[in-house]
Amino acid sequence: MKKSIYKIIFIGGICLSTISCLNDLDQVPEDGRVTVENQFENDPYGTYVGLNAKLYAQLSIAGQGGPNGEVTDASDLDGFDGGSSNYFRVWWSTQELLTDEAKNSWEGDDGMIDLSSANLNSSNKVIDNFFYRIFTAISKTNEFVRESTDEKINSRGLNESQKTEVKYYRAEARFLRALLYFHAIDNFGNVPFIDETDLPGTTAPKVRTRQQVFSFIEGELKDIIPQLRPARSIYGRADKAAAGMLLAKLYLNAGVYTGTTRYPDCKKALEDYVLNAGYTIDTNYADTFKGDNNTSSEIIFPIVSDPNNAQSYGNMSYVINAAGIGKTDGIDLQPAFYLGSSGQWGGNKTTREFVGLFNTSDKRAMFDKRTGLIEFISDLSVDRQGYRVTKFTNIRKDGSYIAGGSGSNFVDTDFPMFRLSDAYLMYAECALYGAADKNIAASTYLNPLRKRAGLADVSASDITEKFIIEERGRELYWEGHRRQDLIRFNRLSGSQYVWNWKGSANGNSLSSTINLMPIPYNQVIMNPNLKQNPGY
Amino acid sequence: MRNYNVLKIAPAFLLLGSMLHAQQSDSAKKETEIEQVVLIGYGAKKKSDLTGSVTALTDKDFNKGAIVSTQQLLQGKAAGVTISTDGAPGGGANVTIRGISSISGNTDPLYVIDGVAITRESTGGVGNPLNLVNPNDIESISVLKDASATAIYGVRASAGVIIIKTKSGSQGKWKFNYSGNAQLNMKMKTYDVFSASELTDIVKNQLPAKYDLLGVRDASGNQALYNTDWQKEIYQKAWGTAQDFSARGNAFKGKLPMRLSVGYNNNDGILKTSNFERMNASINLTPKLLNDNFLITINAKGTKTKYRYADTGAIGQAIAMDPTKPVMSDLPLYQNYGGYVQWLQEYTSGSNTFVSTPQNVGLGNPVATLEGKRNIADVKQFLGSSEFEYKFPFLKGLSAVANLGLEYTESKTTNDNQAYLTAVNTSTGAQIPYADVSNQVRNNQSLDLYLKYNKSDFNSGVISDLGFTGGYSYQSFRNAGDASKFLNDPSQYSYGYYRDKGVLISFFGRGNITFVDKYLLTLTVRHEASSRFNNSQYRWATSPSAAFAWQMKKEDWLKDNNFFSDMKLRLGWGITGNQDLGNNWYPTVAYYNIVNSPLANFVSYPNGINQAPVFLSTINPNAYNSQLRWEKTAQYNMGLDFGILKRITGSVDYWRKDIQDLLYTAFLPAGANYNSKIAGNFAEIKSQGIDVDLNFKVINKAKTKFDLGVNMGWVDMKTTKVNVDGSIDATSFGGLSGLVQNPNVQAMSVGNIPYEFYLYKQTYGADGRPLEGVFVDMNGDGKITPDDRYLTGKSGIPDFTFGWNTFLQIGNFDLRTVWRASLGNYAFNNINARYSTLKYIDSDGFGAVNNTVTNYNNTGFVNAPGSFQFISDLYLENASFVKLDNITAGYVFDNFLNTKTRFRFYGSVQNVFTITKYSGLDPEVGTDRSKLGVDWNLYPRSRVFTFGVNVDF
Repeated sequence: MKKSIYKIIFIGGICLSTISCLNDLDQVPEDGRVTVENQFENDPYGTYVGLNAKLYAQLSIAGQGGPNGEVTDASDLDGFDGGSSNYFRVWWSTQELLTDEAKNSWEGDDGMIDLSSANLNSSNKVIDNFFYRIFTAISKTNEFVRESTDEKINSRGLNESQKTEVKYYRAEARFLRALLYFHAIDNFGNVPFIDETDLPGTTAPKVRTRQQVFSFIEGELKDIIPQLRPARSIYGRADKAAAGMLLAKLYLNAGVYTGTTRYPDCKKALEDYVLNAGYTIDTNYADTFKGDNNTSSEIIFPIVSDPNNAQSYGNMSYVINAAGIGKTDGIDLQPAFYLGSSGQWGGNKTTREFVGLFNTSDKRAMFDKRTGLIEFISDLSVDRQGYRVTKFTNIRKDGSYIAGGSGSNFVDTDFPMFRLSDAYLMYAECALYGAADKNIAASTYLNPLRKRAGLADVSASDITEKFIIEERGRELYWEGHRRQDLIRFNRLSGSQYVWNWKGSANGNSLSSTINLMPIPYNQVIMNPNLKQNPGY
Repeated sequence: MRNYNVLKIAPAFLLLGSMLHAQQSDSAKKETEIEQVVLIGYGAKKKSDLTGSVTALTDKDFNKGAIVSTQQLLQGKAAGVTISTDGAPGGGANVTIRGISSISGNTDPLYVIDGVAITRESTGGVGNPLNLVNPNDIESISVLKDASATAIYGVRASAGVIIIKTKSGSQGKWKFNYSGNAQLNMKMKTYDVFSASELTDIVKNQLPAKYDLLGVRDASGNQALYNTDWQKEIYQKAWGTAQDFSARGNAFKGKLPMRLSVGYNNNDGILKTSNFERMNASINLTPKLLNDNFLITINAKGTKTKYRYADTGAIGQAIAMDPTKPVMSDLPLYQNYGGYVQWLQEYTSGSNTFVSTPQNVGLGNPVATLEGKRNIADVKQFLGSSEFEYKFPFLKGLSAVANLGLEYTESKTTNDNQAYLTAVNTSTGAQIPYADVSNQVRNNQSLDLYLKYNKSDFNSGVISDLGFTGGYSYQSFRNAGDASKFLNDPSQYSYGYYRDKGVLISFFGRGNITFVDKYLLTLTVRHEASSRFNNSQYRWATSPSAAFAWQMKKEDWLKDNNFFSDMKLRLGWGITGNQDLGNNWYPTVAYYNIVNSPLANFVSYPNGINQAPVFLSTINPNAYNSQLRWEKTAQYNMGLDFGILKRITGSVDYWRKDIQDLLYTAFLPAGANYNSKIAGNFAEIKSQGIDVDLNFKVINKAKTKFDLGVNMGWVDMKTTKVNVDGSIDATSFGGLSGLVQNPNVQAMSVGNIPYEFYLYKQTYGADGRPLEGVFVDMNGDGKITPDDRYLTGKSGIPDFTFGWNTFLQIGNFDLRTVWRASLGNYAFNNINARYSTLKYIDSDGFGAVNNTVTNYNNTGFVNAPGSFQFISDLYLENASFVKLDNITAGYVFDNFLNTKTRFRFYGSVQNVFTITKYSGLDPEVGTDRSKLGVDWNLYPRSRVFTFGVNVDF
C-alpha cells in the first residue's frame, strides 16, 4: 500500500515538472523592442532601412525619443543629456571654440568656457561626451556591417532591387564608420578600435595607433568608393564624391597623422572624385548657408535638418540659436527671429583677430557688430562681449522661414560637412607644396572664390602658407575645419598666431599639448589599453 | 524574541514576551511561557528548534503610535536590521539586514505576506510596496537573517527575508476590535537661509547691479521690498487619522474560522497639498475539512489608495526664492500667473510686449508650484493567497501543500497642472497647462507545490525528530504600462508603452533531523532559473545551505543549572543568489528598439534637391550583455542563544558574507557596447559583523513590569574586487544633484568600504576659512586633476547600529520608549555644496536674484561649484546620531463601565528628538540607495503627536 502511494506521488511529481513550462524561461520583450532575429524575419528590408537611417541620424540627433523625450528617451546614451551630448554639437564645439573663430559664454554648461579659453583637462564634460558618442556610434555602424554580409543579404528574402539598395547601405555604413574614425584620430590620436568582428559586451576595446587607424580608413575608403552610389545621387546620403572628399582630407592631414605628407595623393583624390563630379560653386556665397540650402549646387555631404521632422537641440538649431544675442538686463538687441528662429539663446561669438582677417569689401564677412556689442572679450561669461556671426541662418533665399517645435527653435538649414569650395582650397594647398600646378590653382580654383567674394584676383605667387590658412578661415569659417587647419599650419600651438582668449584674454603661446585633445579621465581608468595624451 | 544591548544601561527593561498571541488578561496569576511558533520558509518551527538566525516579533513587540507603514513596526527592534523611512505620507522605507547585500537597485529583503512573495519594485504611485497591508492586521513578523534560514527562498532572498503573517479567525465567540487615532504632524528643522534684510545687504554690497531686481515694482514703478519666509509658506501642520475595525470569530459552529477587517487612513503631509488616503479591507478564512485533514487558508486583501504628491522641488525653490518678494500680488504683471509672484521680465521687441522668465528654467514660486501642480496617483491593489494542505491519512506526518498567490496592482498617475505654471509662449501668447497620464498594471502570480513530512514520535533511538519538505515553485511577473504626455498640446503630444514579463522556476527541498533531542541538523537546497538570463549560459543557479544547532540546555550538565535558563549554539552556512535588476528584464537579449519619435527622423532628398524630402524613422540597437549571470552570496553564521536566571535572554551572532559577481548597471569603456551603461557582474564584496540582542526583565511582578531590550549590530564591509567582468568606472557612484551635469563622489575601491567618499582635500586659509578651488595636490604634479582625489575612509554605511526599548507597566498604565543610534555613518551635504556661493545668489548668470543658505557666510565662495569645488571634503560630515524615536503612554480600562470591553487609550510622540553633530536637516539622509549618504532635498521628517483608542469587545 505504501509503495504504490509513493509511486503515485513520484509520478505525480514528474507530471508536474513537465507542466513546469520550462519554455517560459525564454522571455523576450513584447512591446516596441523586438529581438534582432524577429526583426529580420518580420520585415527584413524595413529593418535595413531603419538601421541604416539610424547611422546617419545619430550624427545630429541624440536619441529615438524626440528633442524633449516626447516618445521615449531623448538620449540613447545613458547618463548623458539629450540636448547637450548630441554628436554634432559636441563635435562642432570642440572644432570651433578652441580656435579664433568662435567663443562661448555658457558657464552653466560645464566645459564650454574651458574649450573657449583653451584650458583643457581630462575632466572636460564636452570632450567626455564627444568620446563616448564617437565610439557608440561606431559600434552601431559595425552592427550594420555585421548584419549585411552578402550571405545574410541573400538569405533574408529580399528581391534584387532591395539587395542592391542594401549593398549601397553597407558601403554607406562603412563610409560613416570611416568618417567617425577620422574624427577620432584627428582629435584623440591613438584610439580604441572596434570593427564588425567585435561583438558588444563589457570588455575594454583594444587600442590602435593613429597610423594604424589612418591605414584602416584609407583602405576602407578605397574599397568602398566603387561600391557607393555615383556623385550627386541622393542629397543626404554618402556617395563616391563624399568618400573621395574624405579620402582627400585624410591625405591632406597625413603629415599630422603619420609624419609623412601625401599631397600628391590628395590632389589625385580630388581630381578623380570631387572636382569633376558635376558640382559647381553657388553663385551667391550666402545661399549655401540659408534655410533652403538643400538646393545648393556645391554641398557634397550634408547633415540634414528639418524643422518638423528632424528636431534636435544639438544639430544646426544649436549653431543658429546660439549665434544670436541673448537677452541681458531685459534688453533684446536683435529683433525677434533675426536668424529665422526664436532661439536667440546667445552664447557663441567670434574674436577680434578673426574679424580682422577680412577685407572691408569681402562679401563673406557676415558679422553683426551692432551697438551694445563689445569687440574685445575681457570676460568670457558676458554675453555682450564679442561680435556675432550671421553666416548661418534659417531664413531662405526668398526671405521666408519655417521654424519648428512649439518654441520655434528648430531650423531647416543643413550643415555642409563637405563642399566644393573646400575642395578648391585643398587643391591650392596641394599646389603650395608642389603637388599641383600653382597657376591652375590660382585661375581655376582660387579666383572663382575670390570673385564671388567681391575681391581682386590672386596669382600663383600669392599662394603662400599665410594666404592659404587665412583664406580657408575666410571661406570656411564655422564649418568645423578650423582646429584641423590651424594644427596643420602649426598655428594652434606656438605664438605665430595669437587671438583673444588663446589661453588668456590677450592670447598667449600654447604648448604642443594642445594639438591633441585629452582622453577623458574616466575612459583612461576604464580602459587599461588607453594611454593619456602627453601633457595632460 | 530578540532583545537589545545598550551602552548606557537605562533603568528600564522591556518585557521579552515569548508568548503566543493569546489573550492578555491581567487576572492571570501564573505566567505560562508558551513556546512560540516561528515562521520559517514553507513551514513553522518552535523557537527552540530553530537552527538559523531568525528574529520573531509579535503584536506585543511592535512599535505603537501612528503607524502607517509596516516597516515602522520593526524600527529599532531587531539587531542588524536598519530601517529608514521617507518623510512623505505613505512614502517608502529602506530595510537593510546585516549591511548592504548588493549594489544594484533594490536591496530590500524579500517580503512574504501570507505565503506570497510580493514585488519589491515600486509601481507608479506606490512608494512603499508594503502599503498593501494594514499594520493592524499583522499577527507576526519573522526576520530571517542568515543564509541557512533564507536559502530555501533562493534567489530573491540574499538580502534576507521578512515573513509576515496576518491575523486569522478564532474558535469561540466573536471578538471585535476597533482602533482609531488622530495625529498631528509638525515640521521640525528647516534650512537656515538669509532673511530679506540680510539678502538685501549682500546684494547691495556684492552684486550692486542686481539691487534693482529685488522686491516688486508697484503700480507707480517704485521698488517695494517685502519680507517673506518661504519655508514657512510651504509647510503646514498636518492632520491625519486612521480608523480600523476588525472582527474575528467563526461561522458554521467553528468549522469556518474567519477574520474580517476594514480600515481607513487619511494623512496630510507637512508639505502643503501632499496627502495620502487609503481604504483597505481584508478577509481571512481558515476552514478545516475532512476531519481536520484538509486545511485551507484563504487570504484576500484589497486596498484602494489615493496619493496626492507635492512636488519636493518646492523645497529647493523655497530655499532659493527671493525673500523680498511677496507670495502673491495684484499687479497686472502677475495676472497670467495666478497672482503668484514669479521671476518675470517685461521686454519689448518691435511692437510686441512679451513676458517670460529670465532664468528660463521653470517658474520658481514654491507656493505656486505646490498649489498649481496636481499629481495624483490612484492605486488599486489586491493580494490574494490560498493555501491548501492535505494531510495524508495513511501516513501520519505527511502532507501535500499547494499555495497559490496573486498580487495585482493597477495604478493611474496623472499630472494636471494649472495653466499659470506654464510660461506664456512668446510667439503665440498661449499658456497651455501641462497634463499627462500614465497607467501601470502589475500582475504577479505564484504557485508553490510541495510535500512535507514530519515524524517526531520516535520511541527510542538516536533520532528524535525527522522532517522533509520538497517541492516546486513557479512565479511569473508581468509589468505593463503606458504614458501619454502633453495632453493639452497637440504639437508636443507623445505616447509610449512597454510590456515586461519575467519568470522564475525553482525546485527546492529541505531535510531536518534531530538527534537525541539535542542536536539539530537542517539541510536545504534550491535550484532555480530566471528568464532574466535568457540567452545566457548561466541560467540556472543552485542555493544550498546547512545548519546545525546544539541545545546545550538539554545536556545533562546544564539541565538543572539554575543560572543558565537557556543555552543554544547555532552554526549555519548557505549560498543564496540574486538576479534582481529592478524592471530590467531583458539585459541579455539582443534587440532593436523600433519606437521612434516622428520628430527624430533621418532626412534625405532621393527625388532631387529641389523636390520634397523623405523622412525615414530610425531603429536603434540596444546594449546587451550575454555573459550576465547570478550574483552569489555565501554566508556563514555562528550564534549563541542564552538565558540567565530567567530574567535575561539574548543572543549573539557572528556572521560573514562573501558576495561575488555583484550585479550592477555600470558605465562601460567607450566602444564596448551600444550604450554607455549595461548590467553586468562587476564586483566582489566581503562583509562580516556581529549582532547582539539582549532583553532584561528588570521587574517582573503581576502588576508591575519593567523590561529593557537592547540590540546592537556591527558591520564591516570591504570591496575585494572591482572589475570582475570587463572594466567599469569604479568612481561613478554617489551622483550629486543640482547642476545640469553632476559629478560623482563615491568609489568602490579594492580593500576599502563600498560607497567610500572619494573627494578632493580642501585647503584652508590662515583664518580657518576654506580657500575656494584650492586643494591639496596629492600626487605632487603641480596641478589639480582627478588623480588628486583621495579615499576618505568614510561612507554612508554605519559601523554600529543600536536600538533600545523600555517598557514600563504599573497597573493599568504603560509607558514605552524606543531609541535608535547609528555610529560611523557620514553624509555629504549636497545642499551646502551646491548653494553656498555668491554665484547662486547671482542665479548663475541669469537675470534673477536667488536666496541661499547661510552657510555662504562660512565659505564666502564666489563661483559655481564646477567639477572641483563640488567634490570637496569640506562638505563631508559625521552623521552619527542618537534618536528617541517614540514615546508611547497608554492606559487600559479592562472592564469599561462594566461592559466587558477593554479600552486602551494612548498618546504617543514620534521623532521626539535627535542628537547629532550633522549640520543638515536630518542625519538619516534619505532612502535613495544609489547614493548612500548624499543629502539632497529630502522630504523632512515631522514630529507626530498621536492620540488614539483601542477597543476590544
